[in-house]
This record gives sequence, structure tokens and C-alpha cells, in this order.
Amino acid sequence: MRRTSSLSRKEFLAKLAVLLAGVPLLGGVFRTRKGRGEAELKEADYYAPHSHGG
Amino acid sequence: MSKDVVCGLCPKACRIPEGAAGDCRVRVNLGGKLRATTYGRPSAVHVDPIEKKPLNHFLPGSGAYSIATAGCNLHCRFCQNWELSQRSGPEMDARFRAEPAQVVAEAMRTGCRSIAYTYSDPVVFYEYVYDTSVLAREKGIKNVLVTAGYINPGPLKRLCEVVDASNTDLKYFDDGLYAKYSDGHLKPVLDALVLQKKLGVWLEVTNLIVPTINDDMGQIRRMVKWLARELGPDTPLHFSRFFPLYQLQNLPPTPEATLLKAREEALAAGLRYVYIGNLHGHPAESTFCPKDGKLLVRRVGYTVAELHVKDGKCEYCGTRIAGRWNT
Repeated sequence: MRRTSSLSRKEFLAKLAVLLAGVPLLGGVFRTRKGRGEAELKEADYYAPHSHGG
Repeated sequence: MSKDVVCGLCPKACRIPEGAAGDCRVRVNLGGKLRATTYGRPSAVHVDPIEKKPLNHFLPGSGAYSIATAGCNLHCRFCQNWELSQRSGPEMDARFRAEPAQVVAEAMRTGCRSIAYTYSDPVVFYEYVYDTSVLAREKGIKNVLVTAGYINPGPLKRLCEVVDASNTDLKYFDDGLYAKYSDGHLKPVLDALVLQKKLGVWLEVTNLIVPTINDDMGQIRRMVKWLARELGPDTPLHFSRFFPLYQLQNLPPTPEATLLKAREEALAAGLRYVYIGNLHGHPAESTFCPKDGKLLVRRVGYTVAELHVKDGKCEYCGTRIAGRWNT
């Protein structure tokens, strides 16, 4: 029977690596700006540190 | 030690871990400090007629310098500006910079009488709106909010000190629908409407009627009665026609008959100025004197073709017409 759309282990690992590589890129959008741009980002009004009390 | 912060701007009260954004996508916790990442970074800038906001009783025929940044604290499945509102600043690649003073200068240069904070929702670029509004006031430029009104009373109260007019969406008169289709709740919006009115902001209300979702006449009847009672009969109401966009492309545009029926309900509830929007060329785009029924402002789309309000009064019978006609 002809196999349909299944990936070899090697192909699967290659795709997974690409996907995982993308995650820090997305999460790092603001981090990449941190060094050169964080200070210029306006501090917001109306927020408070999260309290763990209670 | 945790550097999580809690945002107090809107009723969502997002607890935001370090490096993450709130539900609005644009208020980001960096090192334990919340940053307004779209401050000074508009993603949309246009000169619009004030009628497009829509504001029909505020400086008719004038230009509104209109700005928006990315982000929104609601996620309406039918959003008409979703490409802007449902994205973060970096996703919009908001490289364009315009500090508040530049916005005011451009508004003056283009002959606009107001600056409108619009398209997405000014709540999520609050600091940018506030700072720009303060400068605009100093230069005699008015400030206009076009908002879903999903904001806490404290921040709204402060904003109302520098804002002149608001068109606030009342999307549904049902908490379950707010939760299901917009990720919000009804009560904070009602509170925001009442507070703006109380603080003297010129207020007009928009209800986008989406077929099968909020077109139930019973719900519309309850809504218009609440509006007449709590905001008063002089508060203009705009029923807006839905067009299939974003996640509700399976629905048809709002039938004209539904809009007209809703308008009848609103007039029967005592509201004096009830408009239909997104139905180009319809007579219900225009303003009529509530006393003698004469045509006072003839609008064709966003264009004012005739204006018969003089010193805030009907030119024919002298009845005072609510609004800020020439401030």
C-alpha cells in the first residue's frame, strides 16, 4: 500500500527544529529591543506589582 | 522574586509576567515595569470627516485628525478594524514615530478642529491619548474618543478632563454576548457611558447590529430604554450596519429593515436623534428637529450637504438642538 504524507524521523526532527527555533524569535521581540530601545518605551500608568499576599 | 505586574487600566486586570503582554497585546511587562509599547507609534493616521467617527452633533463638517495604534482590549469576532486592533505593535511593524507634539502640529497644519483617537481602541494607548490631548487643548484643538468604553472608572475620569467628545460602542445589551463575542462584560461599558455623560463629555453611542447575534428586538428595546433613561433623550444613537468581516464572514450584511425597525424602537423609547450608519444615502443619516420635524443637517455619507442649526438651535423654530455645534 502506498504511504501518504507520513514524515521520516529525519524530516520530522528537521521540521521540529524549525518550529522550536521560531519560538524564541517570537518571544524575543521585545527582548531584542531591550538593549537599544527599552528605556525609550513609555512607562504605563495604572499598574502595580503583583502581590502574593492573602 | 516575581516581577509580575497587574494592569489597572481596564476591567480585565491582567496579571502580566515579566516579558509578556496583557490581553491587549501592547502593554508589556519589561523588568517589572509596565511599558506602553505603542506610545508615539501610530499604525494608522488619516484626516477624516468627524461624521465618520460617527459624531453627528459635534463640529459638523469639520476634519478630525485620526490616529490609532495596534492593539485592543476586546476581541470582537466581527471587528471591522481587526488587522489593526488584533495585533501587537511589532506585528504591525510600527516604525512610524509621532510624538504628541507632532500629532498636534499635524492636526493644526491640516486644518482639523479635533484629534480623534480611533480605529482600534484608545484605551490601550491611554498614555499617548492623554499626553496628546493635553497639548491639543493648549492649542485649541478638541479631543475625541472612539471607544468600546472598556476601561476602569479611575483612568476614564482622568481622561475625561481633557476629552471633549466620545462615540462609545454599546455592542450588545447582554453580558453573555459580550463574553462570547467580545471577551468582555456589559457592566463596565454601561458605567463608562454614564461616567462620560456625568463628566460633561459630549457623548454619542453606536450599536453595530450583527444579524443573528444582537438583532433581537427585545434586546434592542431594553437597550434603548436604558439609554433614554440613564443618558437622556438627547444622546444621539447610531445603529450601524454590519458587513461580514474577520471571524464572522459567514453572516450577511445587516438588512435595512432590521436597522429601520431598531430606529423605530429607539424613537419610541424617547430618543430624539437616532441615526443609521453604513447605509449610504439613507435619510436616517440626517438630523431632524425633534419639535417641527424639519431637516436640520442633511448628510450624504460623511458629507454635510445642508446645515440649518444656528447657535445650537433649529433655524426654523428655535428649538435647542443638543450638541456642540460651534465650540
